[in-house]
Amino acid sequence: MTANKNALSADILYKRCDETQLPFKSTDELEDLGEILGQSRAMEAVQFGLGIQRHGFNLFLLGSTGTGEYPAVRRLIEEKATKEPTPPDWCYVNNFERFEKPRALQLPSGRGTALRDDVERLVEELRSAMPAAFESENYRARRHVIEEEIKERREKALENIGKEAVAKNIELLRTPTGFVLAPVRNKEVLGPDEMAQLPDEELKKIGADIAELHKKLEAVMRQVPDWEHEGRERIRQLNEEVTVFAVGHLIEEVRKKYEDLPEVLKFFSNMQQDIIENADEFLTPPEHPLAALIGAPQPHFAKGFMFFRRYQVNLFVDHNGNQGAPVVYLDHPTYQNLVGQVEYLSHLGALSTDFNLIRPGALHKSNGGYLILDALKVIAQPYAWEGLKRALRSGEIRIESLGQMLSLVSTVSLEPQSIPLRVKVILIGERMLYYLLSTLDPEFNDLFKVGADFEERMDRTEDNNLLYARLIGTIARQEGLLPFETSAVARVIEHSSRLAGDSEKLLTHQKVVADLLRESDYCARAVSHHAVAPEDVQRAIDGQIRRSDRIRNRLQEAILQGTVLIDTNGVRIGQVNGLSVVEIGQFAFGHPSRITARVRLGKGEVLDIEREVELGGPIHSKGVLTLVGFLNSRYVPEQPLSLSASLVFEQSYGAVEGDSASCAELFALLSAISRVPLRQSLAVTGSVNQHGQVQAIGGVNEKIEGFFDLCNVRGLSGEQGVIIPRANIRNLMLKQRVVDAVRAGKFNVYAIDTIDEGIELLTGMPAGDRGPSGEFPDGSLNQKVEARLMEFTQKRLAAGAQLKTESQV
Amino acid sequence: MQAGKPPIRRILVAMDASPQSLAALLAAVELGVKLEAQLLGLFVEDIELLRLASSPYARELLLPAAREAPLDRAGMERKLKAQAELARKALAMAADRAKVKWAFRVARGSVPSEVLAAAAGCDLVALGRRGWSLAKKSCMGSTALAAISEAVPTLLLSTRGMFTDQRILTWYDGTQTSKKGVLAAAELARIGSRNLTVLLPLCEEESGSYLQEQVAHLLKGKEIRLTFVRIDDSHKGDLSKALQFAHPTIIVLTGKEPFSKREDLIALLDAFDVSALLLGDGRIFELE
Repeated sequence: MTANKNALSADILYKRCDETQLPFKSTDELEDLGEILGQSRAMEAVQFGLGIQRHGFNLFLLGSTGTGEYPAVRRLIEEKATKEPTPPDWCYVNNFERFEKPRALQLPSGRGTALRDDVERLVEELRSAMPAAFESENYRARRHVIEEEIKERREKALENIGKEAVAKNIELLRTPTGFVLAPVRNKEVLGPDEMAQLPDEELKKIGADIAELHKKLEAVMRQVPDWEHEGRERIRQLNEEVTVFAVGHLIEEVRKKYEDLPEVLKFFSNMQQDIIENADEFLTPPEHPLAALIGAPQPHFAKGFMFFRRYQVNLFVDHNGNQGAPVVYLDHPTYQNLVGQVEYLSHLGALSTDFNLIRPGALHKSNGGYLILDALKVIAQPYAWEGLKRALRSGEIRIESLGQMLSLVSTVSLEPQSIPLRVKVILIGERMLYYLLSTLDPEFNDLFKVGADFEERMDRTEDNNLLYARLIGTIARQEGLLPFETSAVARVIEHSSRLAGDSEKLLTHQKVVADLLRESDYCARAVSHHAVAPEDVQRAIDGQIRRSDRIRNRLQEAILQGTVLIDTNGVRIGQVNGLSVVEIGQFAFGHPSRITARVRLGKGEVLDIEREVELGGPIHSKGVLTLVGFLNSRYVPEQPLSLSASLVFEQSYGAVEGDSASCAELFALLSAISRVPLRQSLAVTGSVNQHGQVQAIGGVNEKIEGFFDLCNVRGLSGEQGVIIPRANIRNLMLKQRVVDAVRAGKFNVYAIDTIDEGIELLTGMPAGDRGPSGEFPDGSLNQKVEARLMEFTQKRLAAGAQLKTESQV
Repeated sequence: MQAGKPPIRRILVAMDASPQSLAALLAAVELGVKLEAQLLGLFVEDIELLRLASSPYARELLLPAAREAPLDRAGMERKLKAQAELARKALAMAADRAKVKWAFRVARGSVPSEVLAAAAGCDLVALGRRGWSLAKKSCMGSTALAAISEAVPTLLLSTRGMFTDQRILTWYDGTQTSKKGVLAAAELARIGSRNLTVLLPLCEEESGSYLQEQVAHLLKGKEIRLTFVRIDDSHKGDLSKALQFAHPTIIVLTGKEPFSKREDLIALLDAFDVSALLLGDGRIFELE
C-alpha cells in the first residue's frame, strides 16, 4: 500500500530535531536566556505599557495564565521598579472637627514610622505631664477659689433668703425635688389644723410673704445656671492655661521635626487644641461604683480606654526600608482587599470603629508602583472589578464598605479622606476574557489601553531551536536541575512541537516545558545520571501519559471486548471508522467511533441523529448540512434530491462537536447510496466543504495514535491506516511506535485533498470524473451514487404522477 | 469583744440619696470589707417635710428650672419613697459588689432623732456631713451636728467616698487615746496612698523627736510614709493653719482631742470641708 500516491512516508510523520544544529554537549555550556522566548511583540507592548505614564495606559497580558510569561514579566517590572523613586508613606489621623472623616497625611517614605512613634511617645508623656500639672498646689488653689466663689455666691443667696424667711416666721426647706417655703412657729412647721386657727389677716400675710420669698428664690435659682456656667468657663480657661503650659513645650519639641510638612503641623495644632478641650480626660478619676445610680456624669472607664486612640497615628502605608516603587501581586482580589476597609471592634455587643481600624488595600500598598492582578479572579469577586475601575477612573482611592457603596446600610461609619492614586495595573487573563471585556465593558478600553498579546507558539527554526536550548539550560540552572545532553534537548524540542500540535512550531508554554524538565531531572536522578539523557525525557513523557491514561485504556478495553463495536478489517456498506479526540484535564487522546448511514427514498433530507437528540453541537450540524450541499451540487444537479438519509455516531452517548467527522459521514453516506462497501481497516478524519475538498482538523496526532493503538493490539495487518487531510501533514509529530510501524509497512497514513481520493482508498474503486457527456464513467463510484439517486428521483416522480392521476379520477 | 475579732460588727449608714450620703456609703462599704462588718442602711422619711406638704400654702420650687408646683402630702410621700428606693439600690449595688452583708430599713420621723436611735444598736455610724442641708458648704448638717453633740461612739462624716487616694491626718500627743487614733489612721492609709500626716503638740525639741520616734515605732512594718507637723494645741488658730497646710481629705481624731471642748471640735469641722473619722473609744481596727 505504500506505493499509493496518498500514503505518507515514515519520515514525514515525525520531524526530528537535527542535533547538528545544536552545537553543544550539554546545556551547561549555554548562556542564560535573558529574554522571553518568542514574545517580542508582547514584550514591546509590555515595555511600552510600563513606560508610558498617562491616564488609562494600564496593561492587560493576554494569553494562557500558564504560558509562563508572568514570572518573566514580573521580573521585568521589578527591575524597572527598583530604579524608580520610593512612594510616600500614608497615615490616617483623627479629624478633630469631624470624627467620621479621618484625615490622610502624606509623608516622605520612611517618616511615617517616625511620626507614629513620636506621637505615641508624646501622648505617653502628656499622660504623665498633664496630671502632674493639674495636681500642683497652684492649680488646686486657683480652682478651689473659683469653685468656692461660685458655691458661696449660691449659698449666700440662699442664706439671705433663708434669713429673710426666718424673720417672717417662714422656713426654707429642701425637698427631694426642690425647695419649699413653709410657715413655722417655735421651729415647728405649721400643720393644716394650726393654720386653720390663724386669723385671716395673718394667713393673708403668710401667703403674701411666701409668694414674695418664692419670687426671690425663683430669681436666685434662675441665676444659678448662669453662675455655674461662669464657673465652668473660668475653670475651662484655667485648664487651658495649665494645659498649654504643660503640653505646649512637649508638642513644640515634636513639631520641630516636621516643620517641612505643613499638614503634619496642622495635625499637631489640632491635636493641641483637642487636648486643651479634653484636659479632663487626662485626669480621669477611677470608676465611681455608684456613678450611674446617682446620676453623675459617666466616668471614663470604658471611654478612657478608647479615648487616647484619638491621638494615635494609623501608619497606613509604610515604605520604611523599601527601595524603589512597590510591586504588589494580589492573589485574592476581593473588593476589600483591593480598596481597603474599615474594621470594627466589638465591645459589650456593640460594634464601634475609628480611624485606627482603617486597613489598606492592594491599591494603597501598590500606589506609586505596580499592581498585578489575575483578571478572572477580579471579575469573579463581587464588586471588585467595579471598585478597581472606579479607583482608576477617578485617580483616587476612596474606602467605602460594600454596604455604603450599595446604600444597603445607613449607619454612621467612617468616610476616610481619599488618597490620590498613581498606579500601573497589570491584569493577566485569557485572550477570550480580554475580548469579552473589550466588547462588553465600555470603560475597559479606556482604562486598559495596552494589550500585550502573548504567543503560545513560535516557529521551529534553527535559531529558535538554539534559543530553546538556552531556555532549557536557564530553567535547569535556576531550578538546580541536572544539565541536559544535546540529544535530550532535541527530544524536548520535538516534544514541544508535539505539544504545539505542529511540527513547524515550538510551544512557548514555559510552565509546561519547565514541568517536563523537572520530571526529566527526576527520572535522570533515579537512574543516577549526571546529565539528563533523551531516555530520561522519554520516561518523563511516558510517565505523564501513564498517569493520565486510565480512561483511554478503559475505552480501548471496551472495544477489544466487543462492548463497543469497531471493526478494523473487512468491508461494510454505509459504515466507516471516524476518529474523535477526548480531552480530560491536561491529557488528550483519540479513539475510533463507528459512523453509519442509511438511505431510502425521500425528500432530500439527511437526518443527523446526534442533532435530533441534542447531542450534536452546532459545528457538527454545520458539517452534516455541508455534506448535503455537496450531494446536491455533485449528483443529479437537474433533479430534486429524493433520498432520505440518517447518520449516527454508534454507541456515542455524549456530546459530539466539531466537523472533523464530516468526511467520514460523507463516505458512509456515499457507501450507503451506492451500496459499495467501505474498508473497515481504515479510519477517517477531516472536514469537507460543499466542493468536496477535504479541510484540516485538530488533534490529528492523537486520532492517528488512537486508531493505531487499537489495530496494534488486534494485530497489524499492513492494510490498516488512517486517512487525514493533506493540510494536516505539518501537524504530524507521531509517536515512535507509529512511525516504526509505517516504516515497516504495517500501518499507513494517507493524506487526501478531496473526497474522491478518500473514497478510492476506502472502496478500491475509482471515484470518476464527469466526462464530456456530463456522465460519470461506468464502474466509477460516483456513477453508482448518481444512478441510485436518479433511481430515487424517478421513483419519487412516478409516485407523484400516480397520486395526481388518482386525485383527478 | 473576743480576741482577734474586729470591734466594729455593724455599721449604720444614714442615707438620704444625697451625694454626700452616697460618699459615706462608699466609705462604709470599704470599712465593711476591711472589718468584715455588716451594713445597715437607714432612710428616714422626714416628718417635717410631710407636715409642710399638708399645708395649704405649700408650694414647691422644682429644680433645676425653678418651676413652681403645688405640693401635697401624697405627692411628698411618693417622692420620699422614690428617694428611699434610690438609697436602697445604691446600698445593694455597692455592698453586693464588695460582697458585704447588708440590710436596709426605712423609718419616719425627725431625721437626727431616728439616726441617733438607730445608732444605738451599731458600732459605727457613717453619714454625709450635710446631706440635703441648705447650710453653707463647709458647715455640717443637722444630723451630723446631732451625732457629734450626742457623742456617737464612732462616727464617720464623709464628703467623698473611699479611702483610696485620701490625704489622711491625725493627732498624736503620746497619750494612749491618741495612740489608738494614729493606729486607726495608719490602717486607713494602708488602704490607699500610705501617706499619713501626724500633728504633734508644740514642745521642746527633744520631746518632739521622742513623739516622732514613738509614732515611727508604733507604725514599724506598716510601710507608711509619715509627715509630722507640730502645732500649738493651746492655740486653735494653729490647728486651722495646719489643716490649711496639709490640706487633708480626712482627719482621724480620738474623742475630742486635741480640743478640751466638743464645741471646738465642731467649730473646726464646720470650718473645713473635710471628712472625719471620730473614734469614741479609740478603737476601730483590731490593734496588733
